[in-house]
Amino acid sequence: MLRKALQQQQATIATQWIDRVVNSFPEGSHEFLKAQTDRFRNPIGHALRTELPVLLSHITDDTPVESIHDSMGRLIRILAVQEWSPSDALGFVFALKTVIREVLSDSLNYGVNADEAVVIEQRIDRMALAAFEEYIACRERLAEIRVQCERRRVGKLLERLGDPICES
Amino acid sequence: MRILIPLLAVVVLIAIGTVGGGGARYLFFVVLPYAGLAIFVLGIVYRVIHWARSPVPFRIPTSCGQQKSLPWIRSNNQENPHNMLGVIWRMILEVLFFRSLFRNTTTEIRQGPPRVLHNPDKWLWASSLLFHWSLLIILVRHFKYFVEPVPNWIIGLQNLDGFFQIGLPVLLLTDIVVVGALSYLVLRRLWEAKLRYISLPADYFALFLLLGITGSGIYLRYFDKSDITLAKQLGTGLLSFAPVVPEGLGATFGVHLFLVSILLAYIPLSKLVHMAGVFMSPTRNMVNNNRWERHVNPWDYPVTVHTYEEYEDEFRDVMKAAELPVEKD
Amino acid sequence: MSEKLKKPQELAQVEFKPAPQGWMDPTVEFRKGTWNYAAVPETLEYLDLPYPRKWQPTDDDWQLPDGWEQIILTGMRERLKKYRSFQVFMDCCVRCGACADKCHYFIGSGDPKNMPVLRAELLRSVYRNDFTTAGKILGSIAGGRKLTVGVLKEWFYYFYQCTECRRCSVFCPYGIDTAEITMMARELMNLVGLSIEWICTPLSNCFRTGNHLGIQPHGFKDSIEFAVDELEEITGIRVDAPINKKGAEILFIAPSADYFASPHYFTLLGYLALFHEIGLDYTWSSYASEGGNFGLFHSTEMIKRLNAKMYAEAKRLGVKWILGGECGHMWRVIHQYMNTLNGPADFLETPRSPITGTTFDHASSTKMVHITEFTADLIRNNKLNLDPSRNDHWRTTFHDSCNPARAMGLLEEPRYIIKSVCNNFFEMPENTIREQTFCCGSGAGLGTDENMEMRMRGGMPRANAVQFVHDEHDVNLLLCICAIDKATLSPLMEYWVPEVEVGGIHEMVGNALIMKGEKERDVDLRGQDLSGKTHADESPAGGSQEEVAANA
Repeated sequence: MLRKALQQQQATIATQWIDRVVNSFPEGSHEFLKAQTDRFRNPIGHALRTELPVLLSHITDDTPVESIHDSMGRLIRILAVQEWSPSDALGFVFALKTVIREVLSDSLNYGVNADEAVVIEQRIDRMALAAFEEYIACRERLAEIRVQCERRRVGKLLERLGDPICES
Repeated sequence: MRILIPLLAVVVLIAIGTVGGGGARYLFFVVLPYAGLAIFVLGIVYRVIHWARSPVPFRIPTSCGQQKSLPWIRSNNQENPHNMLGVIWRMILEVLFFRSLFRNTTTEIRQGPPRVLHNPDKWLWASSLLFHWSLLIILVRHFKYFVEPVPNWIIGLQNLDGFFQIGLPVLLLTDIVVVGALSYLVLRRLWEAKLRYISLPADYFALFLLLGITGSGIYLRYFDKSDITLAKQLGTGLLSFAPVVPEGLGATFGVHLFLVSILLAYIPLSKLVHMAGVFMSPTRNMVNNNRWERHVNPWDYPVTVHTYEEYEDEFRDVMKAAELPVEKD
Repeated sequence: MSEKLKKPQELAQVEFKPAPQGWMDPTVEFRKGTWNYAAVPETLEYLDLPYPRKWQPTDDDWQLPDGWEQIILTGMRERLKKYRSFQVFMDCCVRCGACADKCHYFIGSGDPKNMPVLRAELLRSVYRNDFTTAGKILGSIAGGRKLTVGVLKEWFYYFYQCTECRRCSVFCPYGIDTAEITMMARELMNLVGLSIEWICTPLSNCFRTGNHLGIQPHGFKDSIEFAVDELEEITGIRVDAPINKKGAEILFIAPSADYFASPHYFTLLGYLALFHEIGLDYTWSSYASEGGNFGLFHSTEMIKRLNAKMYAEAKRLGVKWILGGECGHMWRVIHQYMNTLNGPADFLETPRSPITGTTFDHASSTKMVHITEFTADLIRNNKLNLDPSRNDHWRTTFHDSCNPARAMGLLEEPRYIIKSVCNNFFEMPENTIREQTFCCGSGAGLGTDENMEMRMRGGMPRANAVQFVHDEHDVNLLLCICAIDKATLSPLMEYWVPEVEVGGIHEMVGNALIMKGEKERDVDLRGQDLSGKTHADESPAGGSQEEVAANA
């Protein structure tokens, strides 16, 4: 039941989910992020529109977790460098629960399908963990990049001086 | 508040115009129009002189096309002018056709070649262009109220404007267009979040004022059907500096004329000076010939530099040790 | 990222920030990863700049000098009278919003104060308040703001979030150039001792030693000789690289990153190979060893103080003309400022290629030619023996650097060279290149480490277009002609599109150039194995640079 309802409402849920994530960007930019469809003029909006539905179908259709790896990567890469706290950056996964509840509250009583609901929630939680891993990977990459930058800037110089960092 | 204050201001102005047009007729039909025009002319002149008094220390055109370099590489004289002709061409396109606003494109990715398409994204460009051109044509049309006999080309212009021959008096295309375009310009400021964010009361005020003027003008033409001969009597009188205030010009006319007077006076005091500013913009009105014609900075002054002598004095020993040639041993 | 940890109940609120009411009240939080360290006092002292002190943007008290408001307002009045651009740009913006979504920082972050119009309004509001009649009478209704510490902090935050790339000015119907406004704002902040380390340290280094890193003459010579050795290993040819040689025909000036940094260094190898092959009578200079000029990111006066070295050194060495290397902001200075600030250079001659006989009439006054103009002319006249297949392991695209594109119009020369030396070249989408090119997101003195998140956001539109050609055409090398690009696009790619590396055009020229008497080339200038490789897929992304380092 729940699963069917989810699949039927997939488009609505996706739209509302995208809206929510867009709304967590600073005020004044929402219109632009939503309305500008050019993927080069609005890469963030484009990423949200393409990747969030992929993540959603993982929840509704139970696609394998590997299938969301790329989408999650692309999304988190954007969110991990915004002026947000980690919880803000990852909050979008949990926002999906709220969206689903809101969208489905009319069509059926969410609480009734307790077993199914648990399964859905578990999938969302699993996705949250995947997001967390991706987030940490991005932050680690940033830290690595910071180190690399310094090395690159004077790389040739250090190399000539027999610098231990470069030879290691 | 940012919308309410300017809206209120325009409403108050309309009220003043209504009252004044009935009462202090000489003030509103003669003194204020003259005053408005005087402020407009003197204000613009002052502004332009004020700008011109700030020199252009560096030649900083924004290049939007290929430079003139090697003879076999085709240069783009319009987007990156290498002579005065190019600058004039660039300015014409900018002033008459809003070239820069035209640049917006939206990309579309398709299956199969060509994969990437660039479609025009021209709402702002189209509405601004329609608005400004309509306003210009309307302004020119109004000359018929000031000169007798009315030149044929003005009559021709008006006939062209009323090409569709709908209604009586004939519906003029520019009247519809100007209201439509103005409304779009207001609505986008209200609806689009990022524009709402950047808009100031002054932005709304200018738009509301213009809407008040066009609205009252349209009312005069199509509904009030004001006596044109009376308006003309006033117009020719004003132009010949022998003003007469004919009896029978209504309150709406008073509003129309008062708002126009306010607009004239407001232009040089506000962002509406952009009409003159566009000609003064150093990124647009300069030739990109920096490397073959020296530009002189009138306020150039000497600065402290680190001379070669000072440099060699500091590093002479290491330079000699590294067998780099030095000036002094 | 916020520095404070959240309380548990705040954590539960995954929803959204309260919408700020407009922008007139200055609000700025110095978030980690966004701002730059303040200039260290020693550098300001060395350069005789006012109010050196120890401070950081996160301090509550910025230790502003007494009467700082007056200092800034007086400075503003002065500049309004000295720069028509500033005066006109303050007066005639209509806030039409055409520029709003053109800034890479806005696109990559959604922060509305990064819309060019709003960035300018931060300054314009103060202008209105203190310099216009309407503002003096109506105050905030006329869009005026009093200059307060809050406003000043906001200036510091946002005018060091502008890379002076001029993209917005392309779309503005009045040609309003935010770069110009940012330059003015930074000059005003300099008056009260507010600047950033990443600009002032290179400035003082460059003033003293001639280059940003502060490398002394013998170190510079070492670097060049080291490159000569390495080039010999790769090509079997020992090239001559004269330094401070009097009477040479041409003085060559490149950005100093080319000698010290990676991947710039491979472009240096390319220059050396090319000059040797055509038998150019040229010299390097240790005194004018920096092409770049961080003065552009600081103040006009500083541009002049540093740039003076170029003509002075050309005169001292008695060369005929100057050739300039691959660098973006360096070329904005040379093209739009040098001749005015430090010319006329009437002791030099109109540049003429000694190889092809072409006279570069378009540089007849500055007497300085861009290396891609010079090389394009060589290729056009068939003076180079090229084997583009030696670049077949690269699938390239070209990033137009902001300054050569929008402050010069150098668009076709680099493309002509790339197409002559590479078989695989793919353009990024039209609205991301040429005059509409997206900035690397780290120019104008912002290419440091502490603001890395900001850089990643700002560079995202560029990276996104690279991602597209990578997905479509398997592009694995992003070419550019700017030292800042080479330094900053590398981390940008590492973050967004790790499969793509960054290189310079003369690196490609050096690879393709068949030198007389060279040995069979089994590696490219990066030391990557060429034998049997048709594609770079065997070298892991980012690995090649470390490989070179490890081999040395």
